[in-house]
Amino acid sequence: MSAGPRLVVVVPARDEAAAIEGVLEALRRWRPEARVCVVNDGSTDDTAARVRRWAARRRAGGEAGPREPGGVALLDLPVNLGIGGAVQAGLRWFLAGDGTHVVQVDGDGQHPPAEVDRLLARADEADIVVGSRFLGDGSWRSTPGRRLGIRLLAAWLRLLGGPRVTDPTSGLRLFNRRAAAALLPAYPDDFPEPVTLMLAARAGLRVVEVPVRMAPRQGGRSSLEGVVAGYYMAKVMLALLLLRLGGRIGG
Amino acid sequence: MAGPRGWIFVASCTALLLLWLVHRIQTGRLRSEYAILWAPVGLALGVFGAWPPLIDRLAAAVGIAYAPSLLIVLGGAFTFVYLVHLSERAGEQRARTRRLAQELAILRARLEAAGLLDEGPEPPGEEPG
Repeated sequence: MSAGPRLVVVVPARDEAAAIEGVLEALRRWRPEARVCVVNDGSTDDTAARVRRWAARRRAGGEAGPREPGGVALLDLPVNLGIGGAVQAGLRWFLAGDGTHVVQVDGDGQHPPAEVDRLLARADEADIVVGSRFLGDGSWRSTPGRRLGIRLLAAWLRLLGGPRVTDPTSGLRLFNRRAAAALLPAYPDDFPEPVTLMLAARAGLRVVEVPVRMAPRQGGRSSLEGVVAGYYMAKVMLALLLLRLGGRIGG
Repeated sequence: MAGPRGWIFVASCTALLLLWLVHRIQTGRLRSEYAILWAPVGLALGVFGAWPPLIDRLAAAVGIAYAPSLLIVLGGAFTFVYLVHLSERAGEQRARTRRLAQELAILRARLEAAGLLDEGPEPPGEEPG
């Protein structure tokens, strides 16, 4: 691994006390040398305490500090910022260190860490590698309603000149430093994935998509249900359109 | 058009409104940057209140037959523009809060890593509710 990528894993987590330790354990087994950065997004449960206990146990066992390979850092946001603000905090942490690549793995257990290997395998070809549920086979692919929404978003993104992807809402994504630095200033607040792909296209970043398998959530609750899903679609489609027309998102 | 009683009513309403605005500024609840915006509004109300024929003439000049509807149009336009302005300010504040929260979390993580901060205290200023 000496010449390989120095990987930072950003785990955004809100009220994921039920799943977070499982995610950390899976990450440790998968790549003991990866630096993990859990971003606690104003959880009301004891997500932060569990991460602290986990990190303390590992340090007590002679394992690494937060910035060292294999270490677990906790960014404990004092207020809830939403998924965009949480991932942005992780990107700030990543850019302040010497990592070469950063990958987002959601704190709810939907992203099996081993799938990140498929992203890393293509890391040299692109600035952003997106894990898609729809390219390969055998993945859990969400509910029919959401699949329809995702296809619609993919078509909309393509129509507006964005990257050709099949899973624009995938949170399982690998950035190199160039991509992280380019996306950091304008990272959107809510529902950032499709919008950041559009921003990437505008910044001239290379985007590739690889097949991955995702799992249903291990615990917690999805942020996208019912009316919220409709609001999400409308908001994201409008944001993409505004970007196409030359606007800027975030701040 | 308005009799003396109507005039007194309008003038006292306007005077009360202006006094109230001045009071908000004096007690520091209305920041001066907003006061600069509200002062001309209060002044315009004062002028219209003190001299009602003015609004009739203005309305006639822009071709509005029923003078009070000019006030409603002006008021509506001002309110709309001002609300858009406030939405923008709210967005700015949100971006700043987000940046501060992120920097605070990163700073805490560094202090904890350096052993300069006890781990596990509740974050300062828990969100109310």
